[in-house]
Amino acid sequence: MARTKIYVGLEIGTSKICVVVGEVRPDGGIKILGVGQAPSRGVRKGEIVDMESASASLHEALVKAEERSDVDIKSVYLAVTGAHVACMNNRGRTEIPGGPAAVTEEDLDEVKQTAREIEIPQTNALIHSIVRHYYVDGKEPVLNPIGMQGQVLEADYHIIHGIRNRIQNTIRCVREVPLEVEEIVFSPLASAQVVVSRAHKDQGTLLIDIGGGTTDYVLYQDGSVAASGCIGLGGDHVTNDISLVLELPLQISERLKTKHGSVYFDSKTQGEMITIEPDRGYPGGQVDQNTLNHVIHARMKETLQLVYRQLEPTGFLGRISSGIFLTGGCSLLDGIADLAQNVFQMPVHQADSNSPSGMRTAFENPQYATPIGLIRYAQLLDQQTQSQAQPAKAGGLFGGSR
Amino acid sequence: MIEFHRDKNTDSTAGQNFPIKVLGIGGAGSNILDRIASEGVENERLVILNTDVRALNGSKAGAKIQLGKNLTHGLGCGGDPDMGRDAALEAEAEIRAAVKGTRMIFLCAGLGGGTGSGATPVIARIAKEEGAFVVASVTIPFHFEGRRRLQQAQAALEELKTYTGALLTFENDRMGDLIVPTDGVDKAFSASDKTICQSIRAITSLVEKPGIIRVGMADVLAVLNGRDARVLFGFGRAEGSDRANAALQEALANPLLERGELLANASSVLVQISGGESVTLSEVETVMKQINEQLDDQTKLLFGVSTSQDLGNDLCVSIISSVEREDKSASTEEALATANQNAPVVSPQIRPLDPPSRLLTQPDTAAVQAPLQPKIEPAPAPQIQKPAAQIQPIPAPKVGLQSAPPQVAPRKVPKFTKVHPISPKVQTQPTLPVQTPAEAKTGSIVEKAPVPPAPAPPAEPARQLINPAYLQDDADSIPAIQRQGGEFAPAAIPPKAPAAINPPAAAPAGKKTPSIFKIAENQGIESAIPQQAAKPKVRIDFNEGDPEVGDGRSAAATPTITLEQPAPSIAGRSSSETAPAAARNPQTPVNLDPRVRGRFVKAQPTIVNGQDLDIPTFLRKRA
Repeated sequence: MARTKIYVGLEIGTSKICVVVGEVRPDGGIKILGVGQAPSRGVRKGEIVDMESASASLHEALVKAEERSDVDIKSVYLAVTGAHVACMNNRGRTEIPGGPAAVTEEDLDEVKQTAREIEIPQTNALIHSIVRHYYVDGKEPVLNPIGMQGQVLEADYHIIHGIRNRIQNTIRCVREVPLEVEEIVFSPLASAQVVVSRAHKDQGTLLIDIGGGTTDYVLYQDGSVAASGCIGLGGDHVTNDISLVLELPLQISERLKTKHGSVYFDSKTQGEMITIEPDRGYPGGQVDQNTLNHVIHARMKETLQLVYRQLEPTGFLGRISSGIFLTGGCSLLDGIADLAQNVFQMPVHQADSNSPSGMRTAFENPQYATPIGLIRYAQLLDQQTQSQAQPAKAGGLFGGSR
Repeated sequence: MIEFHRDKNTDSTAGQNFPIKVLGIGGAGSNILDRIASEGVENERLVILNTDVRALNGSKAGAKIQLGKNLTHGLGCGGDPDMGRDAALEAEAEIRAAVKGTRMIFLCAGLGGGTGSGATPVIARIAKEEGAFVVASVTIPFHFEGRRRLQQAQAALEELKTYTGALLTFENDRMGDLIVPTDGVDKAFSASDKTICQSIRAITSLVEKPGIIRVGMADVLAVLNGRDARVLFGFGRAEGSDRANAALQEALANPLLERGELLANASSVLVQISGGESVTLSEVETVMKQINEQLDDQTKLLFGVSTSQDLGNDLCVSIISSVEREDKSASTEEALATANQNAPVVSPQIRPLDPPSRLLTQPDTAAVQAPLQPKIEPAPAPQIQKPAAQIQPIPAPKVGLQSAPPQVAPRKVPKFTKVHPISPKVQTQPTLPVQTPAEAKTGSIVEKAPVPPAPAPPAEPARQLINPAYLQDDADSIPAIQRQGGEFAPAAIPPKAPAAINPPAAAPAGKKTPSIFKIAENQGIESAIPQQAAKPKVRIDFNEGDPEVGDGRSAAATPTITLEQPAPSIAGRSSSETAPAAARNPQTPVNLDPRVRGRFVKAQPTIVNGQDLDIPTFLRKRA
């Protein structure tokens, strides 16, 4: 009988805490068993600022997920983000022992070690080190050099790191539940697993996940991560802006944003007024649609421009032929794709996380890209370790006979 | 922020040989002092002088002198320089004791307020009398802080020139312009604190730290003792492969140096290059070569090089230079002019801040008057007398700190000036139909003085430009900052303003309205009026000229609103009352509204390129 494995993805986001329980079937398909989510408290810009409130929200989400999926959750894959997360590309180099010889698993480990020996700030810790390409004797990049003959092995690594304490805060919050954290994953990498297809990654693409508190991005080129990062701006800021500029309570601002907000503002919307129903603590009133859009436009444009400015110097932007994928809650904003197209001058797709099966319609919403992506990520990670484990075993056998 | 590293070994001895003290006066002074203290200067060198006991208590300075113990009872001066001066005189003995035996005194103060403007010149005098070389680093208030503060600052500046060996003035408007183009007001303030702090540190380290090529006290004094007490200063620090260039560019980018352009007219320039032990000859050469290119052949160039392990891989360039007199006036003028860039008609009116003689020779002043003329002439004669008299007082504070000019100002001077902070309120209402206030007050005058239609259209385009401007991403220009100022200021001011206006009601309004026109008319009959009278009238226009209101007409009309407010205060207070009144009604500080960050108030700020991204883009980018 085929084994199925159950993974749990947890995202502690700025607007919501979301737990996704997914089952990976032997054929590799994913089935979502249950999702639990709770509005997030004590989280700002993707980082926990109030442990207690965040912990309470997490409990709530967890209980819901357990009820719905009927799974006893013990360990999770945790998405992390925050403006402190930074990336760099580094190349490691190692000599293959014994002159020109076939590249072996050990050589790969060796080169990985050298690639990771880079200077990141002392306070920082590695989140990911992702191999981009290998080079054997400086020839064109290859993805799997094992068995190739050569003298020198080099590897390009993409290294994502963040401030250790802040990451640990998030982890500690989860452990206190108590839950085991299997792995931490930089959020956009998780989203990319469901939003961007293999083909798109090969052609080169940029995924921008505009969430509640942060805007995360990851740029793929030739099938591997070339750049990634996070900006501490998101939908929260839009709401806050509306609240400050139009002098409205935050809840009403949030509702205005999701219901009436748009980044388009021009003569068409000139003079249109939105009537706000009276609410507790708010007597009701009218808001100029154009001003509202203006505020949203200003914020979103700036956010996208910041992403653009961070990526521009890397030179990768010119080499992504699949265009841009937008995801995250803020990608639901009216006109955001046009705006992004305007800023980046390339085609923009509004993505959703619709590839897994089960409870599909409910979770096509791009808000769930990251937690669902976590399941896929976990699955891929497991596959990888398995495939690595088997050759390693085989190598051991051969080694024994040698 | 650049850290201030001190070499303990050299310091302790050098300090004794050449005692230097830093005196912070008033609120701004204590802010600067705290900044200096936080960077490791020994507390004993720092002396804080303030009228406000709370500020004294909070200060980190080693010595604290309370000014005007009996006069202000530990409260502030309420923005009244006369009170600040009296307060300082009261504490003269203490001040004298504090500065005794010191060879070099740095005074830091923010001019424009009561303590800063009033007490600083007194303290400078005392220090000078005690034989110290006095270096004053002072800030000139932002435009949005109101005309009165600007005038008080100018008056104090004039006075300071006579007592100080070197005078470094930091125009806050310029700080805002060049250092933090789009930042919040608090940032702009702290930017000027920072620059002042740098200048003081640079000069002290020049004097105290031994160098390879040593710049001694004599050199510094030679440079600082220019014909004019004003000094240019720039400081830059950088690391990395191109650090020499980067540090120099940073130094030249200092607002006081105007990208090095002002250096061209400097009489002498002192350049100090300091860095870790890795400073190379070629780096020194790079810096000096570039500076030389900016200089005139006649300029005396002094330079020094020092190394210190503390600096690590960094390279610092300090440029100190004295200014020729013309440059100084030019720079002030420029600074003021920039604020009114989009008000072409108004900008020439800024000139009055220059010496009057200069004003009169200005050809464009005449041009300014031209558009105003039509309004002026029809103004009814009887009313002219009064407003004219009221307006003349405006220059008074300038002269007034030394001695009030009774012949120019028949009306009481101080009261009038006191009202000006209200003007920001006016600025924020550019949409106000110009005629309405005028008509409301005196219909007859408006009819008689038809507003020239020509100037009106410019105002419209100017406003329209504003929205698109915000969409563009380029660095915001000065109006942006003024805007912010305008936004914050009114919040703080209204509570006070209405109180003052209400009692006497609108009765005096009728008289007030013509005053503007009258002013303008005065200009026409210039010969009949003392020279200074020409100044104030123009000035009124300039300060009220909102960047958005580009034409002479609205600029002239706006002040009519302002002038309405002075009336009650004049009526309500006699000159003897002035000081206590000010104390009771302390000036409202510019409100640096923390609310602007909303829910992110307590969160870690997201700062990119010096901008606090938690503040709504909409507010930041709006010009």
